[in-house]
Amino acid sequence: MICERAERNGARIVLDELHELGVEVVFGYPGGAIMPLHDAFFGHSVRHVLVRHEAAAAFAAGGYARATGRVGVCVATSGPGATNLITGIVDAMTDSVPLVAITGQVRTDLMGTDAFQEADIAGMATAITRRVFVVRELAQLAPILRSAFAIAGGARPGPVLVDVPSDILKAIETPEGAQRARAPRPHRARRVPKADPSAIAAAVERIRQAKNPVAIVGGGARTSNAVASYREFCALLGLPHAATINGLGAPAPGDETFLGMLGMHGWKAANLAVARADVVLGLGMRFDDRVTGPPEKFATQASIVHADIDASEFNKIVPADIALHGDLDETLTELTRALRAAGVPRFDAWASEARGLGSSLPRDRARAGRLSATDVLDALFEMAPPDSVFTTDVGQHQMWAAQRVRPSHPRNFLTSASLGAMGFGFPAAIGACFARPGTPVFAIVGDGGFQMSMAELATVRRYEVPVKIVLIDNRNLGMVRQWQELFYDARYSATNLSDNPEFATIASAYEIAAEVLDDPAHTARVLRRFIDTRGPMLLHCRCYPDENVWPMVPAGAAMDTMMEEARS
Amino acid sequence: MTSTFAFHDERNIARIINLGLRLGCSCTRFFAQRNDSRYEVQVDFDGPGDALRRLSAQLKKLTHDDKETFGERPVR
Repeated sequence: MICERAERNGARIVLDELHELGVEVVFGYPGGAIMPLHDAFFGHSVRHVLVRHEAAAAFAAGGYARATGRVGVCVATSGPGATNLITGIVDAMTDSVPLVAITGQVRTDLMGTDAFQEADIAGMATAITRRVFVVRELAQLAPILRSAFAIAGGARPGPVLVDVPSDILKAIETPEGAQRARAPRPHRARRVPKADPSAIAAAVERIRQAKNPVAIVGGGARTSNAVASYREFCALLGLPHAATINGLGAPAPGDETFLGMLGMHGWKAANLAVARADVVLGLGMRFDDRVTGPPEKFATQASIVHADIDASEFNKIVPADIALHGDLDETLTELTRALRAAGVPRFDAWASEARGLGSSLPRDRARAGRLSATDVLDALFEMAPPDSVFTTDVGQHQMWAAQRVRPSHPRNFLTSASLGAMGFGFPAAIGACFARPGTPVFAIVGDGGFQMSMAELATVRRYEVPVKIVLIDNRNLGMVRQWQELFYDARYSATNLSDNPEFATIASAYEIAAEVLDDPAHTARVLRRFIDTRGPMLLHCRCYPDENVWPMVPAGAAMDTMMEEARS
Repeated sequence: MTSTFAFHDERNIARIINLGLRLGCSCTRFFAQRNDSRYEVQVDFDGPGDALRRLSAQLKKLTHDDKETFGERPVR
């Protein structure tokens, strides 16, 4: 419901605009400067979800956006409220997630006086957003919000921050302003670049001449809804293909030409095939350092065909022989049409050879009677419903999950990929639950990251968010511990969490169902009960402490030089 | 309002513009030049008197912090 237009204040205008822009839910936390906005939530159709820390508001909004493609919205007050959003905003920037952060600000007549809870969030956010707006007049408020959404949800999505002083939120709209608000809004068509036909033709010719081509799909498949066109493209050629962590879900589940995730903890087949490739097709990905290693050692025999919506990505890290600048879905559709017309033959023999380069993951220190995190995750992915959404936090469990998960769509695997922000997984899962009610959502978290965000158990309790929390507890900051073992002479500094609390007891204190899993013999039975339980639940998996992630490419090494087992 | 500064940290140049915009002032002229290890900056801002006064105070903080960090007195 949009409230009566007469006598709207700035806060009401914000919510009416959010409603007009299709926003249904906002994640936030109140405070002094943003109070008028929280007052306006009374009786308004836009729903406010109260989290327990502003960082969780940003992550939950990010999870909502990642799970749907719609713009996620978070709100916080001025000063500390705004600064607590920053990590989630950077996360949205680095993973191209559409996010609008609305922050309260001290009154305009106090700005610049170092007032209580004043912080120059606009100055801080300039480097970590697509755009920052400071609203200085009520008449600017609605147009700025519309611009913010257009930018955030643009061809390459990202975060936008709108800083609104409290006097603007309280100011009453003039009759002229109300009239302007009722006026029809011009529709501005989004300009999306289209790949040059000559570049498409050159790419077709390059693929025709290739003997060992490999495709790498990235987050662009999610952003541009290119999943169907990507699968059709790969299927037409029988092309071996790999995915970045953000591209997982683009390959069809069960596709035998899919080699798995590539990169530092990628599948052996994926890394070796790329190393041997004579053509690498980088599709909606940006040759991140975790994927390439040292660029001069990446795919040294290959020519690079790079498709991306953002021209600044071309030649940023790896020089592109052919650049396809455009929306990935359109580019792949055109490419597939042209390949079909040209009768380019399939690569079945090469795909089979590539698959044979390493089609299983190494096991680590399996010990009888002790619970292995990787066994738990293997069983979870086997047993969870096929349309499930999985989020992860950051660390070993993230890499184990990324190696194993076969999501049905990139919007079903949500992870802080580029920023690697611990504390992301749980609130992002809450956001995903609000975004896609009825879809099973599993938050896979480690004991370190969960302790950065577990206050959100209160949010889960209040709204009965049906999230399933899979807590992989190895009583260590495991990824750092692994690096200390391998590269710092086993000097374990500040990574031991052996004094972890009883997480199930904590969940119970919030009246959230919880169970402990520590006997591997019970894994299947406990997981079945966990998955079938209605409503939220925490599964505390007490895993052995020194399981490592394999394979692993040491920092600075080429991607085909993988370590595959522990030294001891 | 015309201000002249000297900074060692060139990031302050971007910060000046941000501050001006945040406080409702507009930059009408900007000049920056590197001279040895310092950046000499001249900038003109237009805006309401109160906003310019607050901007001036914030810019003084910037120059003060630069001086504290690099141990040299600003030009003006």
